[in-house]
Amino acid sequence: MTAAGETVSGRRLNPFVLPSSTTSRFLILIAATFAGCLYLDLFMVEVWLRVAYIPEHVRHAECLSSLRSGARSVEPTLLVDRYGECTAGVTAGEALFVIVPLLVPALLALSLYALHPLWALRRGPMALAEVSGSDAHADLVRRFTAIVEEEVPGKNVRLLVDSGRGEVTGRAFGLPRHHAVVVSMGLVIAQATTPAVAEAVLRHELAHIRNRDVGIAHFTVAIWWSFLLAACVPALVATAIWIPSGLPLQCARLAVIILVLWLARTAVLRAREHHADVRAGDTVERAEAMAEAIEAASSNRRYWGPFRFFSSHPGRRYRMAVLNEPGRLLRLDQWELFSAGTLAGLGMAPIYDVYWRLDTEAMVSDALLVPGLMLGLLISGVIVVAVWRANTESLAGQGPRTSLWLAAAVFTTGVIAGEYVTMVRGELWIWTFAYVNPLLGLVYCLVLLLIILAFLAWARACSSAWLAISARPRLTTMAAVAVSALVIGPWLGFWFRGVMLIIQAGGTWDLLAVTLVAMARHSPLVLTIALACGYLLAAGTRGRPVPGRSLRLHLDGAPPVPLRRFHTHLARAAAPPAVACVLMAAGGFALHPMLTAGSRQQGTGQFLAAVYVTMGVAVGLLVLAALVTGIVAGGRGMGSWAVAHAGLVLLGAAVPMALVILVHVAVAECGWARAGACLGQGAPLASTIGNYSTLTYAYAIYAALVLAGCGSLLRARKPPRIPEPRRGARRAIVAAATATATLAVVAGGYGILRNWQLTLGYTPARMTWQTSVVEAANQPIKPGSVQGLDSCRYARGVFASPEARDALNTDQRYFMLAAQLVNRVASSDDPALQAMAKAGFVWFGRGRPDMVTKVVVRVLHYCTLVGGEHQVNF
Amino acid sequence: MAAESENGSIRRMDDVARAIVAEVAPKEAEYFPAVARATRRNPRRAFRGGGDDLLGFSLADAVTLMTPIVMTVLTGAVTNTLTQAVEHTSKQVSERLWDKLFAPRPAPIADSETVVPVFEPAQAKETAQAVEDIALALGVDKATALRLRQATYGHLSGER
Repeated sequence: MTAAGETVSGRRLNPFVLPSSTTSRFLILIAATFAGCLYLDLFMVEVWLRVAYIPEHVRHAECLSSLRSGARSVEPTLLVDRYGECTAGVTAGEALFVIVPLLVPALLALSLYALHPLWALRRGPMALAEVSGSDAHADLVRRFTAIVEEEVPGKNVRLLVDSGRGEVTGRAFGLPRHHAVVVSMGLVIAQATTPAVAEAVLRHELAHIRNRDVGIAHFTVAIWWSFLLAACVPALVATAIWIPSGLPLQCARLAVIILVLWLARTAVLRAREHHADVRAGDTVERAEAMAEAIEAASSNRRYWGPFRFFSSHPGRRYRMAVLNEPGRLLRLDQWELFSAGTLAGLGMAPIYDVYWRLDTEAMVSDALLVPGLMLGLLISGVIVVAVWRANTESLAGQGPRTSLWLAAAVFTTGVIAGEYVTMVRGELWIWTFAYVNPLLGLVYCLVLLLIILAFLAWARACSSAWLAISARPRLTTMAAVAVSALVIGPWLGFWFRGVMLIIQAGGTWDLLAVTLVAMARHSPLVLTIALACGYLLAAGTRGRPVPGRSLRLHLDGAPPVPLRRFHTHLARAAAPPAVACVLMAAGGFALHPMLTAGSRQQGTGQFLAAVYVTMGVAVGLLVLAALVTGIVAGGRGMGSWAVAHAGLVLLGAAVPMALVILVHVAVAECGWARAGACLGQGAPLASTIGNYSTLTYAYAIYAALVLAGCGSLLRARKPPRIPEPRRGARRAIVAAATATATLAVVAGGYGILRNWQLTLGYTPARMTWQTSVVEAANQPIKPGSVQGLDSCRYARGVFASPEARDALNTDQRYFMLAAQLVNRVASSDDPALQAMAKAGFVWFGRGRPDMVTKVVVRVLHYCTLVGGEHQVNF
Repeated sequence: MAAESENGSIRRMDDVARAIVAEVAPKEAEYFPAVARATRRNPRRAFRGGGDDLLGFSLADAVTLMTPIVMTVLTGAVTNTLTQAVEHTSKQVSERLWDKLFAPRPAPIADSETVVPVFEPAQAKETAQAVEDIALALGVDKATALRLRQATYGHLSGER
């Protein structure tokens, strides 16, 4: 019994199986500080540029004059390339104005952390052995040294005494491998009367070293002070000097940021105290001593209700509750989810802004991929680990089952709240929908909710599968975080891109359709699905850890708990898609008349309606195959497992299916005799296969995943009959099937990546333009007939208002608009624009989509500068 | 006031303080040199504690150290600034916000070699009373505070 009369229960969950919430909260603190600093830096740079009156066209004056002076004398493609390099250099220099100030708080925080031992030693604590020479003290030193050896064996931990302090307390500090614990004189004296309490306090401090949170705690404090000194103070001073009238608003903003950081800081410190309490009380006897010490703690006071979040130490009531039921530390903390969401919403705009400055000519999707991956890492480090932790409670059969709907809703709400703050900076994000088309905004929020929900469900399935076979759960979790960042990052980036596109282009329902279809077939996103499925199934190919190395899910010396293992059945699951490929190979001849008619119009059958019909049939077969796969691989409680099987085997099937389609197209177009030669025409074969397999997989995958889940539900009516894999001959079959599937996946992945490279322009390729593109480029030109400003106004508006039908042909639609732009600009009276148009025609003629895209970006940038010169807002 | 005790030996500051503390808190007396050194280093902290240590255990029960009380009052007594010392100390332990923020810096503790004379009964009584008052203000229980007063009086007046 504890001093409060509360019983320390015998079946307590072990909160140290996985990385603790202290680490997650620390990650949130770092991200919040980074976002806060970035926000302030961007603000200060903008204010400075405005106050010093250095608008964009002035900053790029040299590039403009170079472009205009060489418009009639330099070769157009060379001239435009030089202009692009010049403007990229200027904007990259501007990015440094934002990035370099970020280093100041970072360096200050590092310095403060490195110097914290000196600060802790400023009151001259004495070594414990030197405080007194009495025999009783010698006994105390021996006892304390024994406790140190017991708690942190083999570690060099110094014991010091703060002689002037009467409270029974202590503190751990120091750099890694040089830790020290300074205990108060009150604790030394109290050891004679209440040894259990004194030793519990000492064990608590040593538990911080065991939990490896000493550095986290001191870094937390260092980050807080460095933010105040190196970010807040300069921002306030700059505002007071440059825009005194804006000082109250700036103070209000800073107050909000400081409040958020304070809450993040105290959350870290409270979490570490809870974990140290539980670690110090990891047996029943120690837990009771710990409870006695907590009862005696006098600072369990002050904050009530929600105000407890402002306290660096948890209150007595909460400490006792966690000590008695450590499983509380494993539960999904909705505030953590909300904070991670808020930071994602808050950080996307500034990170994208800085990244865009560093690479102004990057494709938008590419420019959003990197910030997406950064935020993906944050989200994975926080919410994936949180889901894994929460799932251990379920795996142990204790605690309530976590509601992923609620978690996804909380995270999504956080993102929307974070976006609201960025709107204060004048960015156009999701909140702009509130003024344009609220229903569209809600739909877009729902899309994010579903993405996050699917992601969380996948994370939970991964934790069940991987923890069952893991002997080193922390390492496994870290690997899961890395994979999860790759899985969710591109989706987040694309979601933000979609919002940006819709807002910039007018907020129409057509645009939503375009964005969602583009999202569905975007190569990186398709690859993330394959990665997610493959990572989950990889757990089912591994053996159970040796007895004794299973997870210790409980404290108090309880034995490890063997968890339910999942087995991968790739060979069995691959059979339905294989049958689909054979059916398509045989049944595709029925489509030949249609293909023949289509191909005679345009040459090698790319982007033809007939080819899309052929692909539609293939997709239908693959989707049906997924339903059967779900039935074969699924069962009660195996829904995620069935979906993962379907996702992975379909990726393997997409390559042969693409080959089947391609061969049918070639045979229909060229006949059997010349089919081989036709296959090698046009784009490289690998790219063509990659394109077809990407499209087949992308169009099939979402319906297939849903149907696989349905198939698993059908199977759930009967008990699963799939036996565990046996050693011997069947193992060889499974290995051969796995190798075949892996080869197919690698081939498909190579094709997809190559296709993606072509799309992004990393690999030069010659594109065959559609008729509409050629017609748009060949419209009559009257040089000098359009004023420069009018040309720019047209150029800036040319990409607005796409229609839903463009969703199926986004690539060629873009180049048709680009051709229109180049054609119109060629009629301008501005020599610079004429030169750019000439460069555009050159690249159109050479079939280089990458260079055409660059010319378009440069024209739009030039027009922005021209607008600035004429004080015109396009 | 006589500079020597009845047996003729010269009484030093730390000897007297240690003897007083030993009567009331023998365990603390074991650590007297260390506590005395910390008190001399920072007299203010001896009464105000370390505050809510952000990264510490969060202040379990406080053990009120007697050494700083005795040394502070003895310093006041031997330097004839007892009233001032008591006033400053009471501000140090005051719960009022103003005193917490702007309490005057306490006078430095007298050197360990400072001679402590035998006090007149009235002066010894006044000093002992000051010790008791401060102890009570710091939360020491009445019985212990009374014993501290008696021990202080005994040693300062030369009875012990």
